[in-house]
Amino acid sequence: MDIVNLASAQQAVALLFSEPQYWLVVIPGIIIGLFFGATPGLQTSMAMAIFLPMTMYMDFLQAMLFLTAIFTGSGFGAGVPAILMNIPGTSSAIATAFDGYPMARKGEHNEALGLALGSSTFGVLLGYILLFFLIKPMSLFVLKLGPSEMFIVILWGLTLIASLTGKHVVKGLIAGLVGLLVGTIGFSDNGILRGTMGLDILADGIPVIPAMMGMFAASELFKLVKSEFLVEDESQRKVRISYILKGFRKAFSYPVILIRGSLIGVIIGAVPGVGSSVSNLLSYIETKRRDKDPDSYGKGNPKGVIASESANSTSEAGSMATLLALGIPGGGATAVMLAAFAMHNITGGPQFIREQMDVVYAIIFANFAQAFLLIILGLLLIPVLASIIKVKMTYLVPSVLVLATAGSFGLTGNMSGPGTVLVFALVGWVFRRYNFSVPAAVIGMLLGKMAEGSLVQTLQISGGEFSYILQRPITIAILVLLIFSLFGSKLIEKLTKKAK
Amino acid sequence: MYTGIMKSTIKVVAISVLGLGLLTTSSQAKDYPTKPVNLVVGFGIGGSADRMARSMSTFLSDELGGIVKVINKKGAGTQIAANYILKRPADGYTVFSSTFSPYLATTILTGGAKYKMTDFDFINIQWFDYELFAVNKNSKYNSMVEVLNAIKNHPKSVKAAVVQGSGGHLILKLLLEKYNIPQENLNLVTYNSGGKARTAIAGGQVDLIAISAQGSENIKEFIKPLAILKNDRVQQWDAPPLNEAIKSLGFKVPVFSGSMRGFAVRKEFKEKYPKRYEKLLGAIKRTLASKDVQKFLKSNQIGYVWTGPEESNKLIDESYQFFKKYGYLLND
Repeated sequence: MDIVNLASAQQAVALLFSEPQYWLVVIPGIIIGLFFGATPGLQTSMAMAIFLPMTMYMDFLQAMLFLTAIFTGSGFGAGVPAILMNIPGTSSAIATAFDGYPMARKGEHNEALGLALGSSTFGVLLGYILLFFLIKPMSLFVLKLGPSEMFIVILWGLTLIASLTGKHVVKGLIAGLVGLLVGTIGFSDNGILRGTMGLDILADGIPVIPAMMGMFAASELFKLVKSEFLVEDESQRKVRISYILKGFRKAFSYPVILIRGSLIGVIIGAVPGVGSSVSNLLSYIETKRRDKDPDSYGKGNPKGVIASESANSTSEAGSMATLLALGIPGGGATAVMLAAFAMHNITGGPQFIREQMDVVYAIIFANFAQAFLLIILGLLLIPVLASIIKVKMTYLVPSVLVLATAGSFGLTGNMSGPGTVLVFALVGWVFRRYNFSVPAAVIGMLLGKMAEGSLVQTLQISGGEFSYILQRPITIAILVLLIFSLFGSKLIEKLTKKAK
Repeated sequence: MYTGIMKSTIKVVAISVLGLGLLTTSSQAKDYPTKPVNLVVGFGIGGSADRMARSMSTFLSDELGGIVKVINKKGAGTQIAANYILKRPADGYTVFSSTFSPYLATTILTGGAKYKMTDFDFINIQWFDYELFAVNKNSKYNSMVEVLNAIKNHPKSVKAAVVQGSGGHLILKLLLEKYNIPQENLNLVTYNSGGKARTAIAGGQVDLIAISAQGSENIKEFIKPLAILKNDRVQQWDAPPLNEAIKSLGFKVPVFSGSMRGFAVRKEFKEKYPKRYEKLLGAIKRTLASKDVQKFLKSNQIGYVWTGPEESNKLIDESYQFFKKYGYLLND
């Protein structure tokens, strides 16, 4: 295994401080990221694509600092609407809404945002520290992940549906199943058209993010129409830096949750494509399961916010590992970065790591600094964002709906986005009305298609031979973990009983 | 206190964004284009087609004297984008800028698309790609003949990765057919993106890959190239042309161009607005003739050939006919 190359690390530091202009792009980058992350429907990859042409006039390192700054900012930004309006900005902030939003309704919005900021910065920092020491092993680990590993990870994500359902387990599973079925509409991975009922507009399937926004947001907003303000209690309707700071500090009083979330984030986040969508849920469920009082979750338990936010912000480092070390993008954001690589005539991969380790380290070091800048900018900007709670519902509901609809138009580029938001707003409302779990349905939708794709590929790669699994140690390991996370506590109980 | 700082920060950011916007849009358009020209890409952000469109848009807007924007309409193997183009008026403000071959052909032959290839006028193909055959660097196979014989004699022992519906997918199946190997002898994994397929070969999860050669540079260290689908050797890959590599097996496969990327418009555009058509054509031609542009595209590993409408339409049709003839291989 490689240890850290100290000479390159020194060069990296020198490189970073050789030109002040390197740092000029970081602050606007984080602000852009925050804005795009915090606006439902605007995506990290969109922000990067819009500002990509600007990087033509920068040198490579500066371009990477700018783009990773956008990445860092939006990673935190997505949690803001999740907390304030129960609208996860991206699928990686779903679990943030579980406890963040109830906290906000109770008037603890300042604290919740502070918690999210603290956990996010910790996640970014820890992720990049791991990346600094383990970039090569991390990337080689990703190379070893085949369709069978992907399938098991997604399956794990799907089994979490059952844990999310609360009182109505059967209804929760039904909701998850409906989500799964909806997820399979459109072209399958091997090019077969399904479930479109002859409608051209469904050929590409249901756009998941607009559907998610509709289910979460719009259905929530319909419920809110009756209330006058987001926070009922007028004395609580304040934006206070001191409370935000209190929340920020509080995040660090749960180091176990933070570190567990970050580790889940790095490992699962490195899995291309599914990473951050699954990691935040996994971290949340694990934290809830190990807690003495699991019933307090979903009602505004700060630990839920920490668990989710620490996991989803660590995913950034995981996806950067594969990009830098292999030149392979794991998602939309890193695909745009790869375009920036090409613009500067750089091919990511082992050669790049060998010859330009100083640049790689410089990117990593700059991200350490970005984490601290995120704290400062976050503290400056959160009060502005949190002012939402002072807005009357009569103004807030229509504006958020318009925002979500416009954002979804931006996502799909045609009316199918806004249409999806509105249709799924009604679906979400019906689900809630009859106690069917909305998150379960969204996760089913999100992971259904991926699960199917990776299952088909597992069958293809093994030629249908079941013994293939025996050649995949990582698959078996994840499978054991999965079984243990489902039945572990019961097994231990049984074994200890027998021993007695 | 901080709100004051915030307000001024927001102002500064807003003004600079506006300023940048104005800088790039100093359009002096008298006739066409009087409004932004949209380049429609059939894939998501960051892919090859998207990179080509975005790189070209800046230069094209200079040549056309108007704004040129890029919009992505991804999905259904470019069918979504193609339908979008055909729904827009044929007035030169919507230009299809994407990877046409083989995806467009596949949407018609197997994807249930309702349009025909001739609904489009392919005004220029500027970027030609070719297929590369490679095994993982630790593989025990050292030639195409060895791999094919292994598939023939040891069913289900070889795993291969391709992109669903790509040229590589088709040619691999054609190789098996021509060499009388039952298709089920090969464990063929179909991915929906080149990145995933390349990860699979680099990580050794599969033994063989057939994929676009361009864009495979980043995994060069993880693979052993065995053949390229071209008539002659190339500098980038140390591998013989496919027909040379399988000469001893006593059969040949047709050599067709892999991915073809460029610009297309609705076929009615030329008749309806001949002047605009000429202007757009001229702008693309002049852009690709510029030494600076060539240098820029070359450094970005993007093709920059001027092929012209006549030849481009011919090449696209040839590729389509090839897929039509052998497309049945992709349907099982």
